[in-house]
Amino acid sequence: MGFVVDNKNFLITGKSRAEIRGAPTGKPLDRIIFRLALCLAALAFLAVYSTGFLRGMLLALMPPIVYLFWRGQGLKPGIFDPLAGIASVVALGSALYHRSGPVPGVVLLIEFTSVILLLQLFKLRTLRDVNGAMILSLMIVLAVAAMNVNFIFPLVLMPYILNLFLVLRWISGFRHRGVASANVSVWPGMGSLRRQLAGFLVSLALFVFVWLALFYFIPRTESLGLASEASKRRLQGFSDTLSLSEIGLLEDNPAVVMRVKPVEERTMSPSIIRRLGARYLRGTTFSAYKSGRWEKGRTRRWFTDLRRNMGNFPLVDKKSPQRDTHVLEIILENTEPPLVFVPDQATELALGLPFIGVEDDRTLYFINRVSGSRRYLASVVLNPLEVRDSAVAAIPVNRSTREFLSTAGISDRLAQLAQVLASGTENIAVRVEKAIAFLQRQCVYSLSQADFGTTDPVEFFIFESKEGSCEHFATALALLLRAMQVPARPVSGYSMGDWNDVGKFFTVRQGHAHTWVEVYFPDSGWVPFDPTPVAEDGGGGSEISRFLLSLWETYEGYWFSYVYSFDNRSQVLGFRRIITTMGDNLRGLIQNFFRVEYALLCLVVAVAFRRRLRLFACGVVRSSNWIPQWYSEWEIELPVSRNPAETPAEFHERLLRDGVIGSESRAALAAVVRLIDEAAFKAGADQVFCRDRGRELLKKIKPRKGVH
Amino acid sequence: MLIKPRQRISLSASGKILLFLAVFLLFAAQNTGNNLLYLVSSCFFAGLLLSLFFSWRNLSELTVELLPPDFCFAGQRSFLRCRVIDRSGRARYSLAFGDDYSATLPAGAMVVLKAAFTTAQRGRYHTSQLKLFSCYPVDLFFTRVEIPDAWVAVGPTPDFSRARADSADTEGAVQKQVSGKEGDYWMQSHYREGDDSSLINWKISARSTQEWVLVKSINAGSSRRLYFDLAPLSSEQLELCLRRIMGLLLHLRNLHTEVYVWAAGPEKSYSWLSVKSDMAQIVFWLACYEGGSFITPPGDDVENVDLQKLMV
Repeated sequence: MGFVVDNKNFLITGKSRAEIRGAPTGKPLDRIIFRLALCLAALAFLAVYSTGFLRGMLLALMPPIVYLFWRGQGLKPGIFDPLAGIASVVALGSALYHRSGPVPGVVLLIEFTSVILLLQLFKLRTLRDVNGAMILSLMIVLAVAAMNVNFIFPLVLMPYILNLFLVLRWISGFRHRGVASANVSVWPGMGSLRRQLAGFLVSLALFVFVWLALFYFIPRTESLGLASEASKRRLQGFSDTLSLSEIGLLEDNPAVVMRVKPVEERTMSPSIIRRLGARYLRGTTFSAYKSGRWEKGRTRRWFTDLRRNMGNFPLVDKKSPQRDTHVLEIILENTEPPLVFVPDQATELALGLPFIGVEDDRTLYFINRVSGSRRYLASVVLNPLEVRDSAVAAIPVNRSTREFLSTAGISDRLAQLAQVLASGTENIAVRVEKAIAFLQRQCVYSLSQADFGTTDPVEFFIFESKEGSCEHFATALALLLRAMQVPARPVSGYSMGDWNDVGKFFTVRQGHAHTWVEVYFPDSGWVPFDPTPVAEDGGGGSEISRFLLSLWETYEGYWFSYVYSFDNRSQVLGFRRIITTMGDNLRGLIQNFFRVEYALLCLVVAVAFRRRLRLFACGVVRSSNWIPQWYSEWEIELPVSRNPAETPAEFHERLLRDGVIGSESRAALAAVVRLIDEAAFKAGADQVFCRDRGRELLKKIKPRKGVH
Repeated sequence: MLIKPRQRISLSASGKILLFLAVFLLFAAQNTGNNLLYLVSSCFFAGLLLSLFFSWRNLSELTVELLPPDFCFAGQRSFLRCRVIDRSGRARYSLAFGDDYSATLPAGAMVVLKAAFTTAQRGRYHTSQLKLFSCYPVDLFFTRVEIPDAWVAVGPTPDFSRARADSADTEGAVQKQVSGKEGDYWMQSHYREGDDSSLINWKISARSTQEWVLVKSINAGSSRRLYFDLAPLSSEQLELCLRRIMGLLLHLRNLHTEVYVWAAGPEKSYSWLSVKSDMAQIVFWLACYEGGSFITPPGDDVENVDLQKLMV
């Protein structure tokens, strides 16, 4: 029964909202929704997989999901339910037990939720169970979003959202099915497949548009400035210390740290890009060495007021003119500590900030931490640095060089090697060249970390293992040069990364982290030298793989620039840009309105759409939408117009009666009426035939001359 | 009756969960500046907004007309109908009324949805919480057009036992006259509720969209004016008597005899009502009759039906 009858109070009551919603809750599911829910869970697991955590567990979860997918229904109630209860308690206990361990809390949460979700999938029998599975999968996806670690997440998010839509669509039909006695179709068919597909695509486009609009228009507030744990972990190499004893955890990390994008078109030429690609992005330096560990030592830090200089920070003396300067935009992820990475031979930074932190070694820091990313411009000189060599004896021992001449931590064996290398040389450049040549000849580049026991890591690197990373090469060179009385310091930063020819930017990943050495020349200042030999390139794969990699990096670039690093400043800038663009376009339109090109364009549009414009002007299209257009085109040519309520047959009678059209056309008019009826009301009528035949007939029917 | 739809929309359980998550994520995103949380939050908000828009638009600008039955009887299955017409030129999906369901309503088309009900006793029943509803497009919003309350007159269950026995002699004569002579049927009329289903002409009805009933050419006599003096009856006798009266009147109607009954319509003023054309008002009178003083009809050619005989 569709209604509830209360005979006592003489009431016929419809079902309440709660009754309608609750009607299908306990009904058994069909295979489609079961498999959709499984897909939802699988996509949530895929999102977790993309983070790199819990991969073993996720791979173990896959066979049960595949089995359930094949089975098409959950397990029957019985022994499984109490077992599932016990398993959930065990999973909860395990998560609580490990909460103080090294595994991040969010990963524990995901692990626990994943186990519960799998158990839920096994007992997926009713709509309530589907709701439970949906909520659990949402929790997993949200936890992955909160981890904020990679760019694969959006690729998983899209199909997940689509699947969620399908599940919700199905539940909508299921609710109707719970109430209705009639047959309910979850997917109400309407029209052709092409029409349905078009409707779906339009809805999808509308959804994406609203989604992006909301994303960009939701106001951002200044956050508390807390970088995510994942972000901190990725960038922990840039701290106040540099340790050779740690395994190079950053070397093969594909996480993107920054994008370097040439601003001007002239910078995009291959030769300039090649030269820019050889540059380094300087982070910070170290001065004190002890047992394989570098520290910053005593450095002064002060704040520089950039307000008087329009937010710009000059890096070289402005009086010396620089030629061939190129501007690079650096889009930098939030790093910890918040360093400003500066390209080699940068002359000026346009930071757009009121203050900046500066240290003795020209390490630059952002003062305020912000969420998202930083953007700044660097003007870079392309010409090679001209170094004026000096004798070692000419190096002054003062406050800026004293700590970099310290031989503390240098073993005797290393000092002896330095003396051998320095013998017979007086100039700084020669000693540097000799030391680099020795290192590159004797040692090879390797990311593997050997166990050096109690030996000094540098001594072990040079004399025993003879293989090491850039940190080993840089440390060895810096110590050798110090032992040769040449001021030297290791520098941490990044190489320029890979050039993306599609997106036109350099992608700097964590794997591009690099360490090199700065050597002091009395007449040229601190000059960078890289002792690390070039690693052998594996050929870079095929053209297709390189192209796909380029596309992937482009996607990453857009994601990084327009989604990941979008913050309140970007939002304000975006609003300003929209207003400016709209204003410019409006101004341009007004200014150019009377130009010949616009007039011609309007003329072409008017000619091309003259029929439709005329129909529109006559109001024919809206007033009688069942009348074919080919007939409307003919009737507006007549001196007498048809009333909106008048059918063509009645109109023809009036035309004949008033003598607008001669009686010789009566038969043709009747045939036209039949064609209109067929086109408008007959199912499956051949519209093309009706149109062509109708036009042919109407062409012969002319109004009498002189009739108005 | 034509009504102006009063549209309501509310969040479903899934919608409430999604809204909570969207707001929660927005707070989390504001606090951490995590753009992925902004992205997911805005995704949920976009889904909710679009779903709200499509749900609302699916039922807006519909003409909804409740069609109560002309008359119905206690203990019998009856239907409340709801005529839904689209006048805005766009297709609608997943429409439901009671336990009836329509997957689609093409642009500019009309659909009649019906749902059954059965009452145990006669009376004037009020409708309440009737609604045209839809969960389209996804299970985030529950949209409904609330139909204003109306009333339905439910007459007493017709008891034909006495009526058929009374007219058995004349009926037999009629049957004898018309038996095997199709030419003696001079008219076919649309089937109306209460008509004798054995008189449905299936040959014609099968080729039509509705049922046709044979109307006999036999003139069972000139028009009769009947009245029932119910005032002296006790409450137990009254119910039985009303059932018998209902049966008698329907029987007479099926015989297409010109019978008029002294009864009160919805305006509560007594007048002569035809069993052919005013059956709805007669049923209303019998449904709502609660005893009380009786007004004797004017005129000499009226028949006072012997109720004691009717109740035997």
